[in-house]
Amino acid sequence: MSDSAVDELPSDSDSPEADIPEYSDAEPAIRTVGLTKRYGDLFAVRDLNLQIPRGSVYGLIGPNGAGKTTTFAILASLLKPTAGAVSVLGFDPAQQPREVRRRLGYMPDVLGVYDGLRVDEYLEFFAAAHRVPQASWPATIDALLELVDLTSKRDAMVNSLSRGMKQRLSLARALVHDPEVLVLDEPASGLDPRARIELRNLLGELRSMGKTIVISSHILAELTEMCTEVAIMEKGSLLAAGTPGSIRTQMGSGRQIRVRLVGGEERSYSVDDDDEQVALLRKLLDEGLQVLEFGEVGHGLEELFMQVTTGEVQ
Amino acid sequence: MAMPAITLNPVLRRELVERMRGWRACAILTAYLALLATALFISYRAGQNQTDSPFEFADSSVNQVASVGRGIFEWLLVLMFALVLFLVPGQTSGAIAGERERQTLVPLQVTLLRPRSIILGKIGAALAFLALMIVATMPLLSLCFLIGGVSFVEVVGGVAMVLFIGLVVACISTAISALVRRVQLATVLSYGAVLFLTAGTFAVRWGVSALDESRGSDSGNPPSWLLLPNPFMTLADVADDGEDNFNAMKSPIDPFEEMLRTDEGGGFSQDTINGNIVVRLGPGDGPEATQFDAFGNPIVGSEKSSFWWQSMLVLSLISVACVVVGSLRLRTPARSER
Repeated sequence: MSDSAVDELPSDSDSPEADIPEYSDAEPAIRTVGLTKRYGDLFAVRDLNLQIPRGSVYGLIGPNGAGKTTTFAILASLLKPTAGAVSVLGFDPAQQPREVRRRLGYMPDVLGVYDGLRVDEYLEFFAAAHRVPQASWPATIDALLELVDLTSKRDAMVNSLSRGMKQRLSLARALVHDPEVLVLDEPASGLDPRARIELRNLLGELRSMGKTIVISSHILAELTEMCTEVAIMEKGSLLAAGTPGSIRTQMGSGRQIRVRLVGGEERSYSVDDDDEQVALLRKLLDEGLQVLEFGEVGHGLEELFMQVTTGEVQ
Repeated sequence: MAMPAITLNPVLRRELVERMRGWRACAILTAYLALLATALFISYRAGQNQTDSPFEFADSSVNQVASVGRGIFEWLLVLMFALVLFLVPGQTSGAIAGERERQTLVPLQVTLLRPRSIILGKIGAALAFLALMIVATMPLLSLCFLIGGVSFVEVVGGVAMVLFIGLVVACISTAISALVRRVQLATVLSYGAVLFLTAGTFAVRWGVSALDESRGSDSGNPPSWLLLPNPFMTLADVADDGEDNFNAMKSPIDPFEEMLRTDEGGGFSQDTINGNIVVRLGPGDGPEATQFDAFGNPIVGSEKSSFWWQSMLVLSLISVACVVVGSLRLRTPARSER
């Protein structure tokens, strides 16, 4: 049964109101301008403006119902925005879904694997679905299994894999057509600490391969280590975006520095930036204090997240 | 010169691998063949008892044996047909809804597969399994040849009709599966659709007939096209040998064949199927019935009814509509999550 042309062409759409400039390599990999998705009176995403640079690891943070998954579904050409413009590597997901799908790998927040297939068959299926030439399947699958550390499970049935392995297999699936952009929705959810560390290392490897990665996660400490930039969303709106440092500056909140001295004494200080932090340490040493520990309190993103969000859900 | 590579629809390929790997396909096939073999055995013994010599066909007249052979064939065909009508919705109603429930639809939708490819792959997989079931039935059907009373063309026609109806039901079930979110609901609706095609069309026809009579018509005369989507009528028309089989063993097709022949009762009526005027002096369109064309000229040697191909046309249109509706339902980007 062969395929023939049909659908996927955009149909009745709320035409984007905002314009995206002509795309060039210098442009962000992903850009949204005034992106809005509304279901009746409910705004899933409201006037979202994002610029995700090429080669970055961009974290989308927010409580449940913040609009992260809806944003990802729009980027992955699954949902049409109600208003606003989106560009993924210069293509509009609503108008040019196939161009976007060729260049974007999407890993939804659910595993969704075919239990009746072997691991290699599973990847072969998605390679075929992405029109990867059949001659290159073996090499592609070998490389992917090695990347996600599942080579030894090549002939195993998918239903015999652990959750962490299935998660890695899903990531391999998203990579099967070698996309430039990866959109990963909660890839670490449900994973044990070891699997999370493995996933983090894997994402680091993907970043070193030049992929642009957009990721959402509830594990903010992990995002702190992985992300070059973050955006914090709540109730469909963007609250803050940029590097953690720049957000902190936007928020006007200082860093809490905890100092532990010989003898067990602990002191807390507040500084605004790196220079003040260096000056504080120098001052303590100049005073002749015997400093055992000197560091920022808490995980940066967690603090920011708590400061920025109200905890309300739509 | 190298053969061009045949690219199999990825969904079809995956479905075949998954389906044939599990135990269910084997169990279904075994149960299906066991039922048919039992039916064959029972009808064979029943046929033997109706001949002059219950223990040996060789001592019976040729006509008697042929009528028994035909009866066995019709019993097998109808049972095969009923099993297909029962099994196909169960096999296909989870086609898309099952993907949704397993949460595998979204990863599929962000590939380069077109919605129609997904739908056709699912239908193709159902059809492939149906073809396997029919091929597995061939040894049983071939027994009819040993006994006689059935031509090769009739067997091929009957089997092709079973395959065709299986395809129609697969298209309907797959479309329903694409429209609803839950497998359970899709299954119920699919069986409901089959029930409507098989029994509902009779009920509608009966209702129209009763309405006609209540309005004072001479006789209930509902339009024949009401039964065009009914698979049993189509099968009966294909399997109809044109004889009344007075001495033959009764087959389940007989009532449908009878209905086709006496569809419009006696008197004067417009034959809506052929578009010809049919004057009926008695039941049936045997020697008593004369057909006239639109100009009033009698049609000599009128051919067998064209019901089956008109029915196939209607069912084909329903199938195509189902594929289109199912494909539209899977189209992304969409306004809401599908």
